[in-house]
Amino acid sequence: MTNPRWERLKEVFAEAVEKEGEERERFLSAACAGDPGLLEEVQALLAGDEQADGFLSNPVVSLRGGEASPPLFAPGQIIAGRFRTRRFIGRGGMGEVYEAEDLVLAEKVALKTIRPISAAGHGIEHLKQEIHAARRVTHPNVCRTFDIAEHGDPPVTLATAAPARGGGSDVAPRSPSLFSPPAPPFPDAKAAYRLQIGIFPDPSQLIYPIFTRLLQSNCLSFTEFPPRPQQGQMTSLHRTSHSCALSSLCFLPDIPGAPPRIKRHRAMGLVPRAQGA
Amino acid sequence: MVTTEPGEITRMLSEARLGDEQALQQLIPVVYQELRRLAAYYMQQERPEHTLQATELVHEAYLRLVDREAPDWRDRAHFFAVAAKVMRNLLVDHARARRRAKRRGGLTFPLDEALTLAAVESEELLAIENALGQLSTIDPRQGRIVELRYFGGLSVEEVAAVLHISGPTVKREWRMAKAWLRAQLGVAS
Repeated sequence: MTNPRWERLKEVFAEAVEKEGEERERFLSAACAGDPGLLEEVQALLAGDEQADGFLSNPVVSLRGGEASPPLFAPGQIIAGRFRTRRFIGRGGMGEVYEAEDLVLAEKVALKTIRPISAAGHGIEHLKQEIHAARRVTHPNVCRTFDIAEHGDPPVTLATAAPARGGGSDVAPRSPSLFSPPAPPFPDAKAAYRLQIGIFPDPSQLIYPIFTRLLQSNCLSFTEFPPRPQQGQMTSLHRTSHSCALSSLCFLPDIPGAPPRIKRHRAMGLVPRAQGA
Repeated sequence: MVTTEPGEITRMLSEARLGDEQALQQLIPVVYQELRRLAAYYMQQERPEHTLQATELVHEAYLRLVDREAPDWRDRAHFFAVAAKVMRNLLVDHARARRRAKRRGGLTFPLDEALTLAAVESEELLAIENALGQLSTIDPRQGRIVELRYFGGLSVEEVAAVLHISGPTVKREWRMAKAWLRAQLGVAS
């Protein structure tokens, strides 16, 4: 339903709001000539517009969930009595990732916090499965998950991981490899492999064209696009270094006779080491 | 009982994106049910004073409900569009419940307490809801844009995709809607 008067109000407001001072006054006088009611309504809207700075600017629900909130840990903070954070690396669907130092073994590690809501339910079990799966894959570009720890009260669940060597330049700025120096480009760079994992905070970060499926235990299978008869899988921690993961994925045929998900789970368990590099 | 199979949700999202109003209506109870279920479950796991951010809840619902094979950001935008409608209802119900509870002397509802608003008081939310209802009567599209932007957190581009209008149109309508609401709330206060 179109209300002609409302539409006229919209037109006048849209034009008036782009003008200032005397120019606006002149425009309003002309546009609302002979219609003091319209003039009053437009002026009320313009006054509302001037007061609307910041109004409704904080959505109740944000697609960029939690982006504005500061990192959970500060640089230099001792975590779980063992790790000293060096820097905040990034934030994903599951939680945050930090570069940290293992004070016991004196080496650099990645710390991944698990959001409480992700840790609830089957979250921890999935994480354990991820660690079991990651331990089966050996490759310098694979970010391996080592262990689970807790910090604070109420506890923050953490996963510790080894550093990956880094990734391709196209995704590195948004999804930084855990540590520098970056690894060499992954072997099939010409194929422009890109990957979408879980939820990204911005549609522009959707990375194509590989179809992914989130499997149980946060493992992803993918089918190359354009389709080729190869599939692979990776664990979600690699989301911090996408191209690293791509460089280390194993291309495996499905296991005949099993439903797709089972096939991929079993395939993952059968992967002795990465073959993609 | 509405199905919550991820593939089915994805299909409904795709159909809703193509303008299937029935698919959109089918999604609403699914999302509503999931959000409430998650809120209830999560609050059982946490210390009593913990508050659950609506954003976190919606993201979790998305993760659980939507099949991410061949994901499409427009489907995701539509999911959040549905979630915006559901969250609006949940939060307004919650604000009303809190108002009633205040009048009765502090009785609260544990489940609904799980839903909190960042920096938005119940009374303020109800005032916005009331004015938004009036705006939606006058200009349904502006009302929908406010719902998507404020209750769903969709960007201008995402709103444009959901409503099948241009980005500049969204910006223009959003600005006027805010001005109108601001003016109405100013009058009310």
